[in-house]
Amino acid sequence: MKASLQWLRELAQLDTDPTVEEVSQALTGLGLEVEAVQAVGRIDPKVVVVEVQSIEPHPSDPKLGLVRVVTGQDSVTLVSRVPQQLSVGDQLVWAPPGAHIQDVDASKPQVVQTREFSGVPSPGMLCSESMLGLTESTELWRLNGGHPGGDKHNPNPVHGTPIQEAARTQDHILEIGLTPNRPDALGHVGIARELCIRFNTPFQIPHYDSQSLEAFAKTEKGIPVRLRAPDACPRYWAATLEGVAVGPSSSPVRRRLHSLGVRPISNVVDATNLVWLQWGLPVHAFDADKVQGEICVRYATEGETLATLDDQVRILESQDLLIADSHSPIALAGVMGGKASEVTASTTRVILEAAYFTPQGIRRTSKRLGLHTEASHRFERGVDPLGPHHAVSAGLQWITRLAGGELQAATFAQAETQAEPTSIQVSIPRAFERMGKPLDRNTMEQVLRALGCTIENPIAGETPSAGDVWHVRPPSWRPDLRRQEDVVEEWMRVVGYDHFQGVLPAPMPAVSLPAHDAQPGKLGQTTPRTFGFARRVRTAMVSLGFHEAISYAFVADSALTRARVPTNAVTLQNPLSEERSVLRTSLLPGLLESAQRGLRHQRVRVDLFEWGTVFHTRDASADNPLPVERVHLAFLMVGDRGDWFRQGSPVDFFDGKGVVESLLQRTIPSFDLRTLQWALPTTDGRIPWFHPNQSARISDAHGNTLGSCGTIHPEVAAEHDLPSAIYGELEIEGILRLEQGCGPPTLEPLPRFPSTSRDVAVLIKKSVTLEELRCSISQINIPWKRTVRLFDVYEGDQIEQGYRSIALRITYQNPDQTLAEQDVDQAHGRLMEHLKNALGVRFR
Amino acid sequence: MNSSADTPGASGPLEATLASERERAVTVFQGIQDEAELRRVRATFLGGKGSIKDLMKQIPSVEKERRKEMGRSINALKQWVEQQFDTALAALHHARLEQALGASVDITWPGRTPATGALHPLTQVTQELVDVFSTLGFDVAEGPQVDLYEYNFDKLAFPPDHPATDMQDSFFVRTDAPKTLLRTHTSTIQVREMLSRKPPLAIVSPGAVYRRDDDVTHSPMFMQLEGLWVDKKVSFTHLRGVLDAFAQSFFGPEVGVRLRPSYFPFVEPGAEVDIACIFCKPWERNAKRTAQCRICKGSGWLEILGCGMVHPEVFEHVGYDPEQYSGFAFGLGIDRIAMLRYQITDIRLLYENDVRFLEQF
Ligand SMILES: [Zn+2]
Repeated sequence: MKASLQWLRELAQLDTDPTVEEVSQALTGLGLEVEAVQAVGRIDPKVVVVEVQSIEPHPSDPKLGLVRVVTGQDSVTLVSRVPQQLSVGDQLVWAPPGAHIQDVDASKPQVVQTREFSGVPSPGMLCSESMLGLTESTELWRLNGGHPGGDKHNPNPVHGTPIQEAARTQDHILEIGLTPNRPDALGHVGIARELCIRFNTPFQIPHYDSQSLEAFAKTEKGIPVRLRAPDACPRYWAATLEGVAVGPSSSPVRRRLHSLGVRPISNVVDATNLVWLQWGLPVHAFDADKVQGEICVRYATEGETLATLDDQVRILESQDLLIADSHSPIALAGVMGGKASEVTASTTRVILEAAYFTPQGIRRTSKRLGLHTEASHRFERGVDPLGPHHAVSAGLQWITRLAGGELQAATFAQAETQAEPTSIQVSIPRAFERMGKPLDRNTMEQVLRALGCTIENPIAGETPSAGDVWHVRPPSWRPDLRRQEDVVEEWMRVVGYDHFQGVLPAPMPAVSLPAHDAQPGKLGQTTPRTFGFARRVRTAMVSLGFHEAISYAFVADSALTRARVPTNAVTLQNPLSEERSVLRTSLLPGLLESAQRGLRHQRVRVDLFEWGTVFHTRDASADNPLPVERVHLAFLMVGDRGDWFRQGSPVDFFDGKGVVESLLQRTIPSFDLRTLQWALPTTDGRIPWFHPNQSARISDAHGNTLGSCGTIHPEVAAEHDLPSAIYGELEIEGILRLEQGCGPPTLEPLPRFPSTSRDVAVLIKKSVTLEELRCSISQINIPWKRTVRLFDVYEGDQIEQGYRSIALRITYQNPDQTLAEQDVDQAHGRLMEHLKNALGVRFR
Repeated sequence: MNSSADTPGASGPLEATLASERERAVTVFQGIQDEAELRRVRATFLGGKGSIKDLMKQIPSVEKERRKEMGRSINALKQWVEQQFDTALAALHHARLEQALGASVDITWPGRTPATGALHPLTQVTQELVDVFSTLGFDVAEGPQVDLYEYNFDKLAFPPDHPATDMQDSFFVRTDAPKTLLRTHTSTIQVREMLSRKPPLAIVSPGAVYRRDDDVTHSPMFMQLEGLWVDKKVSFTHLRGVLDAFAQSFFGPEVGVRLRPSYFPFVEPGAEVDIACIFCKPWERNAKRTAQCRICKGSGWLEILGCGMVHPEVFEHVGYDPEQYSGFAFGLGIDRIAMLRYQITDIRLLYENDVRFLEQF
């Protein structure tokens, strides 16, 4: 909402004269946040009012004229392009050479110069409003009355007076960010009322002489008005004016409208705009000659059409409220007028409508049609139900003042039953408890009265505010005041929030008891509390060298397909774009895209992880009405291991496996990594986004799925312009279950005696896995603990086909004594023999 | 009476040998690059066939009264030789060590950086916020991101079909179930917690929320942290106390807060909260710096949070008795705080995962 400081001052009539900063602070402090202040109408004081003394022809150019003007003490002769429009005595605006002026469309001021026209120099220029940045009007600006566009209410200023003073052009426009609960402040009157509260001035509601209006309404002369939808429109005024002359509004009106961001159109339309700007109450003017018979406020019939003022044909539904005459719709109630009954230049008779439309219906129609107007903005927030009376009076006054004409008839229709504002019971002790400290009761009473509330006295003989329960009746323009707490807020905001100093509340018991008496089915799935665990996992990933990514949960449908992840995605009804139209089913698409971006910036290596939620369509058989949400941890490694001192080689499956193992070890130290099951996907159970031969499903000892890890399928990598990439995705629910099964680590005693190792290189069939070899080693009956470490692998020319050479270090450890070399040799020999027999290995 | 040994020129053959051996010991060790050679040369003095042994053997041939003195002189020579040898040996060791230490490295070469990662700035801020609120007595609660319209709006006292819902323009989800959307705030978690727990309770709920906005300062997905405190006799001054404590422990002990009336359907009264600008530090009373501050645009205040006393209608919706319980709630944008703290001007950077961005935090 834009508000003119000048207008607010006129309406509020404050006892003091606060600065624009003080006004802004006052309004912000009351909850009407002033977001910006713009100074308008600043004009170089060199630009002054002049009076035409004589008009003569130009010596050589018949189209031009020489105009002599008095500029105060002096006079100058100017060349005019429109001498025929001027007459002696006209009061014009002159910018002399050297004056700085800024056109309404210009980004910076220009300096006025003396220019020559067909041999005659013209010192400076006669100005239009647009040349001075005041409105879009390019007509010469005339200040004296009696001319079209002149202002007959302004006494003629003295020539030589700076125009800035003569026309009071300077103003400040306050940009107020109104919250939707304050429709009363959607007009200058409401804002002025708040200023009066803050600056302790009694507020005088602008008064209109409405006697003739009410007298007319009592006669049967007016146009008949039928309220066929009394719930949606309980009050309706229709006033008919005759003898109206449509034309441009006066300069001050046009300037005010322009500075408030409203385009001046014609005096009648401008007058209706002034009504909502002033009162926050929309009114509408029809050309009375284009309204046939009676006015009917009714719902549309399905499929009925109406051409609105914006030249669009609207197809209506049965919930849209209409203003219709005896033949057809003439306006979309509370949203926009109809084209056919529009006020035009030839209009002489006007019907002015002022009504109350209930918010929900207006909002529904405005939303459905995507038609948001100043009128709908106000009605859907709830205007003053008693407001139409002010609005029609104000509208009549503005129209007759700007366009002439006379009131000929008026009709007021209202529904039989009217919603009465009820009074609110306020418990004063409860109010004090909510505020945290008591307030002075006199102040509280004053605040309520200033807001327009009345305090009703239920007990005879007692002053209204003496008791502990007050009955407060809010004014009709504050539909937001409904409960005790709303009244408490009024006290607090007027007294000022700074009045209430902070106190820490009493400590809360560390654990509060779950009730679980709510229906769990309704609540949907319970979300495990993962925040603390997330912290440990994230810390571990960072210590493993990964950067944390946070990606949008919505992705393009095509991104899922491209990454070959599940496509049973939850779809948005109203996405902002196709690129973000479905919820991710995997963290892979987001990480691939981020890595792709990273490599574009010449990164050799990108290691990212993300802790995030994935979404799958709801399981139709489940109680939960919501989609399935799971928290996952995923990581993606792309590029080479090398750096400046070491030759690189691309990351591979084993880098990924190492990350999974280290992560689990770091987050669940007591977890035995050997119980983790790694399974190569079967031919039928391939994971589409993984390399079929370099990936694995990961599960716990009981076969519960924990996730998967592997090399991204070369085709998927290529689709994202990536060299080979390694990816792992773990389901946090599974990992949490693992964690709950593991206690804190218990210390394994450190060995007191040295261990003994033997290195061995064996040729082994490629089909035999290291795990099988390891098992075989652990089977043989040796009384000592043994560990096996792979330290080299060779496949190639020197090796027989179908075989590979692997080098192992086998370490023997007896916790109770140092091993004797010959015992180790003997045991090791047995072990070798066993491997030869069991697995067919050969020694090199 | 002077002994002849003390008198130059009056020396016998023994004295002459002592003097020349002393001379020889000064030079003979020099330049030797090998420890064995040093020891061999040392033996020419001190070995079984060395000159000192030889001199000792000659002592009996000296006059009786000079023998003692002769012995002392030989001992002195012996010590002298040892000293020369030790020095030479130490020098040799030192030279060897210097050689072994080699030339100095070019310390301007790049360090070999162990692989290091970093937490996302939003995570860092979230964790800090949660830590601060934990010490103030709040528990962390989480909930689903796709939720019922009912929990997101109706239960929070949003009037049906009211422009207040436009403040949080929602993404709806296609479903055959009741009206479902991506939560527009984490207050849905508060509703769920209150439906499943008895008061009193104090929770904060961090998490992603979604609104249909997309520009330099608005992202369609962003991070929020909301807090809720419900107990008997909770007042506005308590809310303010918690906000004061939060601002001071999170932003710094001098940072004060300012509350301005505002409107959120689920609170009454409601407020917007500003903190004193942490860039121009108005508490240091440098008016010029504040006037020129681009972050707070000269106001000295930064808006960071919305809050208020829980609307009694919310309590009615979750089955709490508003006559018995009261509470306060607040919500802050984690992105906003991260952007302020790290001076990030484009919110989209937070969700692009550009490593050049991520590694700066
Ligand atoms: Zn600042």
